[in-house]
Amino acid sequence: MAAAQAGDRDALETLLRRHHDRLWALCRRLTGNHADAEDALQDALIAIARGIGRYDGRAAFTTWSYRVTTNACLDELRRRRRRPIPDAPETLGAGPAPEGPGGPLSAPSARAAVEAVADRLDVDAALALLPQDFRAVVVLRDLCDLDYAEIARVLRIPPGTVRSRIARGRSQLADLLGNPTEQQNRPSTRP
Amino acid sequence: MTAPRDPDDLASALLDGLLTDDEAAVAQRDPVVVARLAELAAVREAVRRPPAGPDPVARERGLASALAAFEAGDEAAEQRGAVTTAGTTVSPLGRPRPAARPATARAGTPWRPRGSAGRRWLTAAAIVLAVVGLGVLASNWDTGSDNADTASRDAAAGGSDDAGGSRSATAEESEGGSTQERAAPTVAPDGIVDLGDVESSEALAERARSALDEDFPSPLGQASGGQDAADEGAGGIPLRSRCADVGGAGGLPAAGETIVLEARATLDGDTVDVWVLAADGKERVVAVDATCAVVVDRPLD
Repeated sequence: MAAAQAGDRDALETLLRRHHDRLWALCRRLTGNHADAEDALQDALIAIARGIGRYDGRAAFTTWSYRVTTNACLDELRRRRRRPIPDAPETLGAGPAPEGPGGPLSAPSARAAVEAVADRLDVDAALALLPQDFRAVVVLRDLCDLDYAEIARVLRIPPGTVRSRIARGRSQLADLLGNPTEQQNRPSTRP
Repeated sequence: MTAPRDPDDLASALLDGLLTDDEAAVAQRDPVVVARLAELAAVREAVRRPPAGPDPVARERGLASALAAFEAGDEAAEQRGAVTTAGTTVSPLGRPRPAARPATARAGTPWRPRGSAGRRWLTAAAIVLAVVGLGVLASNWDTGSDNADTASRDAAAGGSDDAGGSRSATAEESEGGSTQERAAPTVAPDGIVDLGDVESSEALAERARSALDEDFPSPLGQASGGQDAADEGAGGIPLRSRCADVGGAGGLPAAGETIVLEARATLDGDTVDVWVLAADGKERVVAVDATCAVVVDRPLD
């Protein structure tokens, strides 16, 4: 890190290669498709390369790089917003709801049902159906493993908002993966 | 923190270990919460599964572009030195920032253009223009342009300082910079200038002035349009869309006024939307609260 900050190109290359795949995963999950993820990641890598000299280590490099990359992804999403979402809801299929006739299934069977659906479906397609704000917090939490405070700093929102968005985002994602048709037709009762 | 009561909130908090032992014990006795917890855990595992990797060629191209930008950084910094402040390129207010991606300014770099190949040369030209022709550019700027769109693909392709560069740099400085820097206005991920926490309308006005002086990008033309909210979906840009009808109800902007800054801030603990409006050489800062009631309306010195 210090060498990269001092201008060592090889050190920076090593650093970027080391973190490339996880940043790619973040972009892929946030943007929902390969092409936009490539564009966003390229922007992010350039921003990191240009900003490495100003990184002072207060936050973990991982968190800092997630922040830069998330910004790049959100910018990419903003640029593409008038383009159609690549995966239409119908591509999610019609998986069975993980709920039995007598109420919620037991935890293992519910989990198995959701996992089975998730195996068949494209998680990215389900993520693409989430509002962008929910998608970002869920991905930063569940993929990047950032804690709530870190997510709050990355997205510049209050920690309480992070918590509520994670809960709602996960819930919607579970519903989408479990029964997308019901989710699409169900009016939101939440503010 | 008050324990959530909604099963989804409880299950999510339980999944992340946010509940106390007592709260967790209660939650785990609720079969609805337990079932939901299993579902949310499965969702988390699904999200965590590594996606398919990037195309190897694209991977190498991206890395090479970043390294080229790194190598060009000193040179570009020198070029930008005369017009940069705290890492933010100074350009006419609200104008899409000059393309300044170093990699694109170097012939033969592997940067993948999104537009025409000649755009890299336009980028380099834009850098020069930004340095020597700032005043000319400012005088020629048409404030009526819809720069949110025009700054999209072209700006990104030519040199997305606007996208991954300056905004990210702003975030970097906010997180890693000095106390003074972190107190300065920043650009939030949703693209709106964040003036930070202030305790008074005077402080808010100072922050707004600082943002103007720093030439933070202002999404002109979108302040009352609400287009972003429509495009982004229900979770889009809530603050921008929330008071979209203020312009009609409250006269923002008034006839003849131009919006020169759109921002948000936390004023004495409450989130407010902020606009700086200009007319006849005078500026005023206006803030509205969560109910879209005007809480600040004062001249900007």
